[in-house]
Amino acid sequence: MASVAQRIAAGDEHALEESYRLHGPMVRSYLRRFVTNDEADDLVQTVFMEVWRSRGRVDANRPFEAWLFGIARKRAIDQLRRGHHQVISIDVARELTGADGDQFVDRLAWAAEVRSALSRLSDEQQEVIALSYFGDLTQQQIASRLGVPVGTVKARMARGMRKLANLVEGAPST
Amino acid sequence: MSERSTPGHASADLVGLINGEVGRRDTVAMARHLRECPSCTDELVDLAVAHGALASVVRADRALDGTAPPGDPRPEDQLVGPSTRMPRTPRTPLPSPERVRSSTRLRHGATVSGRAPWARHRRLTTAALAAVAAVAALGLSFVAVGHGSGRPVVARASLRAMDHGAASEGGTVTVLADGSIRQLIVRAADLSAVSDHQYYEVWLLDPTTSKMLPVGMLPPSGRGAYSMSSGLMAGYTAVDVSLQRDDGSPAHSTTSVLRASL
Repeated sequence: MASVAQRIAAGDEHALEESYRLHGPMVRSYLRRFVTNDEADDLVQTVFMEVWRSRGRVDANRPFEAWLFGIARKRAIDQLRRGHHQVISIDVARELTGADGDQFVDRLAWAAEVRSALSRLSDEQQEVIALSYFGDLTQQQIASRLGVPVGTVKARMARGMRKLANLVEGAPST
Repeated sequence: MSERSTPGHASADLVGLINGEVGRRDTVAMARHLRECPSCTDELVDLAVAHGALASVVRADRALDGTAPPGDPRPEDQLVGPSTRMPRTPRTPLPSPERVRSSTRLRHGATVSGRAPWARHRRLTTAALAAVAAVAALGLSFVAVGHGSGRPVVARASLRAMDHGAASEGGTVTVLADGSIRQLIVRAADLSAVSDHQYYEVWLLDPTTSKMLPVGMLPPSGRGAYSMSSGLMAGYTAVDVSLQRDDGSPAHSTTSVLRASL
């Protein structure tokens, strides 16, 4: 199955929606570090508009998420340059500009890429992985929560983790 | 290996190993086996890659923690549904639907903006996004959607159902003023679904001359907002919603389903 980026590049509006649903929250949280809530809401839409408008420039050899967060970073800088913004600390500003900004965006883009890969797992695999990594539950606790044998949880985890590894390893590199 | 039952393999729980869920004895036993078993080592590499990738998500979420307003859905809610709500992860909300702004250029030249059809589901439609992109590409300005925008209401009317079926029980039309711009907000209640080759269209109507101006498609949500100049709007005193076929004809289908007098 074609990736979200490939489908956006092909003009698939559903893929844009999928990306918005998947990446929008993280993009917004990133932007919210630098601008107000209202500005972040507007900027998120600006970013995805730009993604759609520029879909012809999607580079299959570069992670889509890196491109997406690169756009978000530029738009955040633009917004701050306009001058109508809240005061932000030097530490937060470093997350936006220079080498620190590059590194921060890279980390977020990578995390977003992993989320994209996660979304391609089966619902059952996503569920156990989310409960383990984001819910901090053991496999035994997950089994109790879901009402399934612990062996089922282990199998879903193992298969999901292997597939996730294959997806992220197979993704284009920067 | 994690789900293998083959005797001799590190029996079953490499995931537990990397997540710290096995005790000392099992850890040591698995370590000994892994040093001798290439297939299990390969699997461990996969798990380590996945584990590191997932840890990067947790770290990124923590880095962004505290940047979102309370009460918004968290990523896990979107990832696997509400049954896996997690207490420690950050919130990364979509824009509030009340703030979602979208607009599109109409087939007939007016500008429309519409609240995302599924705003109550807290997400933005692709169509709206694409439409916004189209507007931006054309250099048109955004138009805020909905009430509560602080703009004065210059007209308000009820939409009544016409004879053609029960497309909707009715609705409301509101006209807001923004300088020389008028924003027409249409809200149709329980708009009936239509086939893939049909759609609803909103028109301005002058009943005395039957002159009609198409202002844009009404989304399936039944909510749409359309902007135009006050001078253009002044020539019309009614709003009509028609059921159209996607047959390439720009003309009114003659099937009116809702109408309001301004």
